[in-house]
Amino acid sequence: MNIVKRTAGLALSLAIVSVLSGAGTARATDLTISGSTMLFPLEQVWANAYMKSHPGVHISVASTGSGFGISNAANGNITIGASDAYLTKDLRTRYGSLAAIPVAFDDTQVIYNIPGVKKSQLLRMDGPTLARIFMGKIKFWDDKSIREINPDVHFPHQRIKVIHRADASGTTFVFTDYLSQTSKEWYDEIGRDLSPSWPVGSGYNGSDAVVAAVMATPGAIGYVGLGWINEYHLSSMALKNLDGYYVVGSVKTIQNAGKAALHDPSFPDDFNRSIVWNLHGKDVYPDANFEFWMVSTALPARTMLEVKKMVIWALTKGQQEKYTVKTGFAPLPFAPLKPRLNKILNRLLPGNSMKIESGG
Amino acid sequence: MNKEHHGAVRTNRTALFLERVMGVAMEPETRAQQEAGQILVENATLPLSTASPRILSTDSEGKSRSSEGESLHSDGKSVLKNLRETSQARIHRSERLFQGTLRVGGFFVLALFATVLGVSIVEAWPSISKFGWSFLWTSTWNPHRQIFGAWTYIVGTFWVTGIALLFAIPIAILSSLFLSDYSPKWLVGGVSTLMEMLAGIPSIVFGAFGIIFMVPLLRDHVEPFLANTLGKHWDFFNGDSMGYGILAAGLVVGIMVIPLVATVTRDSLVMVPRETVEASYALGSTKAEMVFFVKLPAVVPGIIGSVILGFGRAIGETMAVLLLIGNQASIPTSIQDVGYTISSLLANTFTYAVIDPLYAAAEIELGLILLVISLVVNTLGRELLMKLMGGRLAGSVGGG
Amino acid sequence: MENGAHDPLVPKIEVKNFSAFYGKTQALHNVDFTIFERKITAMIGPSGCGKSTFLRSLNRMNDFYQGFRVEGSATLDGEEIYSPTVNPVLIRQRVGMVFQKPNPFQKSIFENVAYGLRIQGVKSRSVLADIVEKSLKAAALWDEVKDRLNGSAFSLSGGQQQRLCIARALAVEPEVILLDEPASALDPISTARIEELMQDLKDRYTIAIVTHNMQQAARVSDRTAFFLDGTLVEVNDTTKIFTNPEDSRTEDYITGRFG
Repeated sequence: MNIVKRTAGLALSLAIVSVLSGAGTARATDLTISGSTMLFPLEQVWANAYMKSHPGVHISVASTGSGFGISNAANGNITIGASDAYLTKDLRTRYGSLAAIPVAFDDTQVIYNIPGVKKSQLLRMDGPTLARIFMGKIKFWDDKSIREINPDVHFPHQRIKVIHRADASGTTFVFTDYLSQTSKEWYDEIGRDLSPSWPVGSGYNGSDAVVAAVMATPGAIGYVGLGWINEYHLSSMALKNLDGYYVVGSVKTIQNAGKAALHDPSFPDDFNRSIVWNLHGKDVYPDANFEFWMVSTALPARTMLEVKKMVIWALTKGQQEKYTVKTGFAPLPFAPLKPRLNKILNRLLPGNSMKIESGG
Repeated sequence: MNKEHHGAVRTNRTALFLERVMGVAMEPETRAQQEAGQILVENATLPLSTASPRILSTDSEGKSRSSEGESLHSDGKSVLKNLRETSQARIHRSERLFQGTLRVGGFFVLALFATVLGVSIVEAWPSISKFGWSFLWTSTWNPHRQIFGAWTYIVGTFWVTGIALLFAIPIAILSSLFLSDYSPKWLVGGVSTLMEMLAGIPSIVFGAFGIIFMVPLLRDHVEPFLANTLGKHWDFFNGDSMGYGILAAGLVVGIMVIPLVATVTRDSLVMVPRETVEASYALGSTKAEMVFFVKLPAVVPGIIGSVILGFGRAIGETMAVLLLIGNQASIPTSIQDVGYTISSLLANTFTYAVIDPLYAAAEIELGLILLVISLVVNTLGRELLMKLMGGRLAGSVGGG
Repeated sequence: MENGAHDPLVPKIEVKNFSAFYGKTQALHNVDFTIFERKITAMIGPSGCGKSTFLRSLNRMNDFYQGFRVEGSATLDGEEIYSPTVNPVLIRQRVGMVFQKPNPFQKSIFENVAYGLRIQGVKSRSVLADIVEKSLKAAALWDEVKDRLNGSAFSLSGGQQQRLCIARALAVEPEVILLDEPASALDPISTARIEELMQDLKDRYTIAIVTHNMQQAARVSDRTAFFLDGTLVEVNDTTKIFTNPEDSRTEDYITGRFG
């Protein structure tokens, strides 16, 4: 995983730009998906399954980073750009032609390595305290503010070692999104970003490296997505949500989050907003987010038709657990999503009546 | 004659070594002098170009041969003359073709360099024009607020490079001295092969080695030990032992640099003439004195050259550093701190930075800084080398 | 030379039943030979006859060849040179050597001569300067280099370099000086100067010289030894060897019938 990502560094991104610059004029059955390293494993299994059931379609998938996905989808170098983040106002101004399509559901969970605290012990954490830890303002695990949330846990006087991602990452975006929503301090000083200016700690390239560093470092605290928690059987902290419930992330609780967000009528139809601000209810995990495919509305009609077919497949059949949960994502909550998704699909190819009807 | 020949081969190897390793091009004239390798001519005041008896004799041979040719031609046969003219044209043509080919190769390299430099400057321009020189010494790097300063990353880069070289150079020199003068013969071949293999291992492997070996070693043993000893007197050795950081990155890069320095040092040790070594022994020196006073000074230029190579390797090393340094944009105040280097920042964030023109420009400007640092160090190193080698080159050339 | 004839002959180096081997190859066979104090002893013989091996055995310079070993006895002032308790470094401080090819160090002229003193721990600049000057004068090089003592030794001509090597050897005040074909790489003028120099040095040092050049041996030496195939064929006063050798093989060699 790491190596794949690294090869997708400087050299490759330049190479891809030149190789793919003719993609727009290539045969319509050639689709290129590139971007988010997080979505990459899911896109790979999707591409294989889709090519099997759709002979004549060729899909190439590359893991190049969300930034690359967004900018290159906008200028037509690739057909689909994968991104962990929605289109912020800034990006919408710069890349007006892009439509953001949510294709999977994901979250960020907080992992730790505290000597003397058992894995089975449930740890609770709220946003402001977490923010102060990641700003270096809370330095020891037996700090009063941590003990107050966890009265029945005995903490050692152990220095906290903050571990974060070094590369630009959707996981980081989701994590800092939660901190920004819950801590004014964090919002004012650091904010949410794929690659923020971390005040303290040490950074690692890729979630696997974060997991390794947390497991190896006594006193460590870090964050990774659902897939990593499942793969390494990690225990994560229960995070406090808007209604005061402490919830541990799981396929179930983040699907609940998706439903909760979409039930809110003020949630924008184009998905250009985080969902972290409106996650109410019991068993609703507070730090979940959509993964997106970015498609330029300026694609030629022939290509767009194929893209639309592929997108519809991914949103229906592609949501089966053998694809999504297997690679560390939660299936999209279908029913509340349907009307919004059909609006976006219509924007891609106006006049084309293809729609999603039922879930996978 | 045999021994003179040996001398010529040796000096010639020195020249080749310099050309190959240090990029010091020797004048062809100088090379011819070295090949002549003569120490026979007594008069030191003769100009260099005529000092070699071999060159003189070639000249006279050439003359006599051509005068024989004249006498043949005086028989009135112009066939040979015509032949010679056409062959001259042929020689000219092939020579021109060859030169042309070489020139294309040379220009290609130049053009490549100019392109890299040009494209980088153009792409970095938004950052260059916005921040000016202050880019170099400000340490805020905040893409969100569109403020970029390189200082943190420059410092981190030099930390890692410095630790790597401080660690690698003594070990490399000691090991090559051991191999050349103290180790049993059967060990030499094996260790040399290992060294070469070590030099060929991809850096990601060293990075992985660093994570599974160096990090736990530093975290559990070295760093607590440093803190309990030196750390009691100097905060510089204190810190939360974590394993990751500039020390881990520096040491692992150092391991990668060792074969580079050791190989070049050993090659130049081998080139120290047996006669010089014997001269030292004959004056009643011990082996240690011989090694220290004769061999070591003789290989100083080689060591400097290899250190420059090692510097180049260390300063640009990306993968291993990225895995070990802790990638935290802060200026280290302790040997146990984490940090960030230019190359690891680029590897971590460049694909994301392309989304924002100023962000991307700032990162490209960082790359330019790396380029300039390597160029400056290489040039300074070469100057120094020329100065040190100056007397010696004159010596091996102007034996007459 | 006439002086020498009146002095009693005092043995400096005595070699008895001495054999030398490079691995399985025997280079010297049961040599019995004495080198006398303050005499010049020349060793002649065709290439590969063992004369250089013999010379280098006297200050243990052959120790650096793998598989080299000796049998028999070689003593310096009665002390066994190859005794296990003897440090070869100390032997070499007493028995200096000048090689076939000039081999100055990559240092200045001054430092070349001072080298042996420095490693023996002489630090005083004035003492060093004094000995360097005396040594260079003894090697008849002082006048030519006194203005550029800090210049590179490699800026000297081949002949000057060889005299520098002699000065370097003299500086550590050895008792014996071994010369291994010291003039073979030099032109006639330089050779003549080296030969002159040897006559000057004879009053104070015991000198042994290996040479290919029979005229040179005849010119400079008091005694001459003829080696052939690793054996010492004959050793005697130089005049005797060159006018009336006892062994027919010596005569054959000297008259140019082989070699």
